[in-house]
Amino acid sequence: MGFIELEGISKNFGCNTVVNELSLSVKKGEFVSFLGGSGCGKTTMLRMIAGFETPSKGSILINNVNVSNIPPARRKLGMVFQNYALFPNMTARKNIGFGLRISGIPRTETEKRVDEMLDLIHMTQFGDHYPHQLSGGQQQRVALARAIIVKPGALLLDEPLSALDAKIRIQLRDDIRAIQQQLGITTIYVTHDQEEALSISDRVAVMREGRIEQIGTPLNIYNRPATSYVASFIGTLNMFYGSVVDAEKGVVTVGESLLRTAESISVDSGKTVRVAIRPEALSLFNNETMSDANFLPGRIETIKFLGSTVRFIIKFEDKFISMDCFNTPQFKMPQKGEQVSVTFSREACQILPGDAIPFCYHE
Amino acid sequence: MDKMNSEKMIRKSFSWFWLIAGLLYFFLPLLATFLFSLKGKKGVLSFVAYQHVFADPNFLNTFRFSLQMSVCTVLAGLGIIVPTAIWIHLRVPKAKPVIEFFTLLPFVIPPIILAFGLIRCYAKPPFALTTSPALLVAGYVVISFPYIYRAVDAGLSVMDLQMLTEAAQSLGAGWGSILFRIILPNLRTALLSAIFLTFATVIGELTLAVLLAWPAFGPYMAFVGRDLAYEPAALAILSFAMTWGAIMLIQIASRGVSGSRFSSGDIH
Repeated sequence: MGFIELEGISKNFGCNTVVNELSLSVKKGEFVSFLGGSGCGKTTMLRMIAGFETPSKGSILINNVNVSNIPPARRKLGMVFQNYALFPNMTARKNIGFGLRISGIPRTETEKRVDEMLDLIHMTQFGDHYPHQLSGGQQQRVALARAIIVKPGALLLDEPLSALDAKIRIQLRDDIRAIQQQLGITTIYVTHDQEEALSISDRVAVMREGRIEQIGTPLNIYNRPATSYVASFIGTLNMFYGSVVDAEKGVVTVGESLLRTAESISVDSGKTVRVAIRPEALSLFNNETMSDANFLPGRIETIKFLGSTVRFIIKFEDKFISMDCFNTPQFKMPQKGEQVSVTFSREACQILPGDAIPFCYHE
Repeated sequence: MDKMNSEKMIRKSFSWFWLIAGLLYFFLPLLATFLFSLKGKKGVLSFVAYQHVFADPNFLNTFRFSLQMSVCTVLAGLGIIVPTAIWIHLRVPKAKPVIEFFTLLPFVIPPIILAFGLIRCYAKPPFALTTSPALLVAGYVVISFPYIYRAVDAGLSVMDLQMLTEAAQSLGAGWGSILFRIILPNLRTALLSAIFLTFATVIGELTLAVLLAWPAFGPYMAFVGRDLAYEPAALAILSFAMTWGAIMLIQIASRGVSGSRFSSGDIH
């Protein structure tokens, strides 16, 4: 039994179903992210856990207690909001100590714990600043400290970094993860930023239309997308329609090329499937290319220099393939218009169903 | 570059022009009234009109009464309207246009209609209230409703009420803590505006006080103005100064209570 159990949760606003029969178990100390586009129900689900929305159906258990009808003030959960939600009339110190003050903790104890928190978020010298005197990143640190000082059962974060600029976002997301691991606090994090979710989570739940499309470790989600939606939502992906030639041996045709997968395919021969290949799994044919690798012939249409990597757009028959190569000193840059042979391993070739119905690999 | 500078200069000049025009519009009549109030003695400027006003015991009595009614109106008005406005913002934002429509009614319905309505409804048992100042306060609350509601509504719109409330709830705060520790301190500027407007309205109000037969400052000023020349001008200046004085006292007192350096600019 997990520390947080979501059992068949649904939420309707009028005739609009925002969360649909969602179930999830979160272990104590685990960091789980809800990842999805706008309107997928991730924030509504978080708000139901926090108690700001009531589920239309299903129950929420925290530490084996059904909290579905318990008001938010009594759930003992810490919440961090997208726009910080700091109290403008209080200094950073008073904001952080608010939860302790209202729960009747003695002043000396409160002050001591506030000092510890200011130290934890590296803001000792900003304790007497009002929110409007702090930067966005500093405000969010204060909001985080305010949420965790009360030692909540779990920490809920609703897109906490989306209002910050890129550099601060990366720094703060690492800080959030470090603090979470240091305190061992169960955390649910909502974001639409895949990089954010993949970089800090123990598990990522990709959401779509109020359901969890796939849940797994970041590595699993990225390398083994269960559906076409997850495959296309996470990272850049080359996706082609193909036809199964031999399901048992894992052979498909894409255009006029024959491709081999590492595993057998659970779709009957002759059926249409989608073949998904990550740009970073592709390379140009050279002497080191394995003899059993797949090949696709094509012509370089565009070269985009991205700093550490170079992205090539290669025309293959009537399709375009995106290929990423590391910009190493040894890398021999091909020219635009050059005929090349793109190669990739059998393992890089992922087969997804022709439509968006969830699909399971053969292990 | 020169063109930009000249445009900037023109814009700046216009700003100053409108500021000076506005100040003249408001303060010239006040200055004229003040100068007129000093002409009580022929040929010299003197405070004789002010001496006459202070010598009249009705002046302080009526002002004290109106001040008491103002305080009661402010307390009753804020007590009714602030929780209502918060509730509307948090729970029924769709009702905002309806409430805004009601706030316009005191401008549309003349006070004389309101006074007759109150007398008609509350002259007989079981609600015989015409001899109670509570009825006058109730009438003043209706008249002040637009000023209080709109000031509070503007204050609530500036802060993210929903999010602040949820943040406080997630930290274990009940409604009392949320109201007195979060919402009201952040509404301080809006509340002061509401209090100021209510004071200014109630101190000089005439119709309700006359028809409900209460010795208020408004009827006293009208009475003095009917029979004397310089004393009404002195009274106008005094009431202006006293209203501002009362507001400043409220501001100083509320600063002591809230204990923060908060200003309207603090809300983001």
